Amino acid sequence: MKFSIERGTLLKAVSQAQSVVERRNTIPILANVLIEAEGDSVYFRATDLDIEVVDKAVAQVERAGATTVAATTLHEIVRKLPDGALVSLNADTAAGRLTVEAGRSNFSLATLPKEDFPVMATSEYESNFSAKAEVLRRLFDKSKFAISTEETRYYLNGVYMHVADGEDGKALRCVATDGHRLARIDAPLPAGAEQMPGVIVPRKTVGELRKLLDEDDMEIAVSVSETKVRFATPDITLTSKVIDGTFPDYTRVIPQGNTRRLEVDAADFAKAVDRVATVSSERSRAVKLQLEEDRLILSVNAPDSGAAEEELAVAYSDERLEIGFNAKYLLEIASQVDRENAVFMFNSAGDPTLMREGTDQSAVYVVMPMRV
Amino acid sequence: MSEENDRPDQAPGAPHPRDTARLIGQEHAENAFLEAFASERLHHGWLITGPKGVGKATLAWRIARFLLGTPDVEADGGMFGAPPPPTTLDISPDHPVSHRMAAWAEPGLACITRSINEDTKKLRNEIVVEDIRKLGKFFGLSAADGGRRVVIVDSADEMNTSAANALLKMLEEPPARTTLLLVSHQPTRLLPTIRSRCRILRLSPLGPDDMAAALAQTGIELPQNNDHLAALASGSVGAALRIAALGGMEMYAELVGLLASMPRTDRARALALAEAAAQRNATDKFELLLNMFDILMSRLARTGATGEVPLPEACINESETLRSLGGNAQKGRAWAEVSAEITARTRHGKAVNLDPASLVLDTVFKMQETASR
Repeated sequence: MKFSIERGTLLKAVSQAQSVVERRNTIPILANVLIEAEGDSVYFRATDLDIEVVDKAVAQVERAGATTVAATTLHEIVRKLPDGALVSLNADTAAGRLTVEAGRSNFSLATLPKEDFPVMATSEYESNFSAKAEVLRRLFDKSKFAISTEETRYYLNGVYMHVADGEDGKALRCVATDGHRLARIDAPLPAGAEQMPGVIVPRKTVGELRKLLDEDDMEIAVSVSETKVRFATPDITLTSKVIDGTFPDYTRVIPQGNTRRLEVDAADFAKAVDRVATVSSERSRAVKLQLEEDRLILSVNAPDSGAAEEELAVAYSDERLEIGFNAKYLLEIASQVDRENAVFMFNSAGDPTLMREGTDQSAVYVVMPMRV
Repeated sequence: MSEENDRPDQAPGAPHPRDTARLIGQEHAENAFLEAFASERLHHGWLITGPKGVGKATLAWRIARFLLGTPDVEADGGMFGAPPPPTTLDISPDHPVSHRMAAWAEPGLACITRSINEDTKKLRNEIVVEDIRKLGKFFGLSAADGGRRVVIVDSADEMNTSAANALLKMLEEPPARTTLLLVSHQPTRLLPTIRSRCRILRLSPLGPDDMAAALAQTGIELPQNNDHLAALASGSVGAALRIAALGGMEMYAELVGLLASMPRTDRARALALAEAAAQRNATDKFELLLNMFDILMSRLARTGATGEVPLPEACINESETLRSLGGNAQKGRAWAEVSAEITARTRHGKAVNLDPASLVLDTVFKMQETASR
């Protein structure tokens, strides 16, 4: 294998690929990136056995072939090369070395045989559709904060992506929950997604996927099967296993009959919560909300460290209510609101509370109260 | 892979079980598994038992390779009917699964062994519950390519109680198309609840011919005097390699030499023996020495009980010593009793971290006492 490539292109491809390589990994081949040169492209493939990323880059291929080399070392080398350099990579199969040359720099890296590298099979997907990066980004960004980290309920360690009946017909829906809060985000169903099986996309995959979604108008090709999910831009393909479990019936926990309505500026609310929570004890971080006619009093009373209180002008016209929440949960759901006011719907101090963004029905959040 | 010689699932001096392609002398176990596979009602939990070093882990890796490398048969058998059921566990070394398994990169396989303690950077003495919990992630995600999943626990005896309990749940209802292979030297010491959830594959010690073939396969240079080695290893390839690698034959000859002078004790010789065992980083040698004591006493007991010297000899001039010290049934019984006593004492001594040298000396004096009876 021999090819030359522009340093910037190479850096982009290698850095994306190496990000899935597990830092604490002890298996040599999994620390490597598989480089395959063919036609006028070079593919960089990295995996942690659960997620696989393939980056395609344009290069002048002199001799087709494939080899594997330590991902972080290659990344560091390319990062330190001067901008605009032309890098030439040449694999010497007999010696088991890959030489990297740029200007006067010359590196020789140890390789491992490409046969040892686990490549995820390109099995058939039950559903293939295309969605704008912007849409997917909203679906995952707004739901991922609620992903559980608890390992016993492993089926909550991801975002449940499925087809559901939304407010305006069928929707592509992402749900995440940890049992204390829940996020349910809808987007119009892309053409071709009707038959998509519901899958739970693992947390790490959600993080890796985010890196593909920076350009608003980029079309992302999504493929889903019962056991795998794939997201692809023209250059990068991310394939991941999904969580092998059944997501609980979340519709039961979304309250339907909450009638007490509070409307508040989300940013002001978040800041106020953050301020009063300063004095609360680390562990519970409970904040009390006292609701009166157009007035909200946030208070924290921690016997060991002190007390805090703050008043906010809000829109509220129902009967008085006192309810407590975990400050962190309130902050996180309030920070999901980006366009309009946050609208909270309460029932009683012991019932789950629902939050929406203004009149928007496509994003719903639920948070459980705390006894204060 | 020379850099991983300290793996907990690898016998000293022997290749790692995943690198051993053929398993010799255990055809009945292989056939039992193949039969279960062909019946399409493969049990998910298998307990592979037998003495150390007869190929239990090799069998586990072979089964794993076989399960992951054998394509699924379509339910209706396809256009030409189902292919005949496989008759061997062999998977070609060029098969992608073999390559990936050799590189520890097979996504369908999880191998649980004792792990490194992050705090002390040392290998733990037992498999702890965190090691087992790693399986949670393995089971939690969908199987690679929707295929099979195989777990090897090597060895199940090393699990502590909480680890065993954590495994129990997974052994009870693993995800579909999952096979758990438990390697166990002493299945009676496992939790009965684990035993009852597994089908048992019993491996037996190897006969002399199989033993020679298996040793030849390892490609390891062995001393010419293979009879002695075979007598000491009693049908276990792993033991043979361990004895050869750590100089066990010389050790045994030394013990017999020491015994020959009994009931007087050659104190200088005994001390030298004890000091060698007490060296730093000589845990393997110390274990082997205790093992040699065991073998020697059991051979003495056998001599007494049967009235005949066990053959072949395990070292030069062994027979005379055995005959003189274990000549009759009464002496044989005495040796058997003291052997059990010494085993208990050394186990206790190791548990309280007693100095290896004193343990060795204690054993020598105990033997002298018996010899002079």
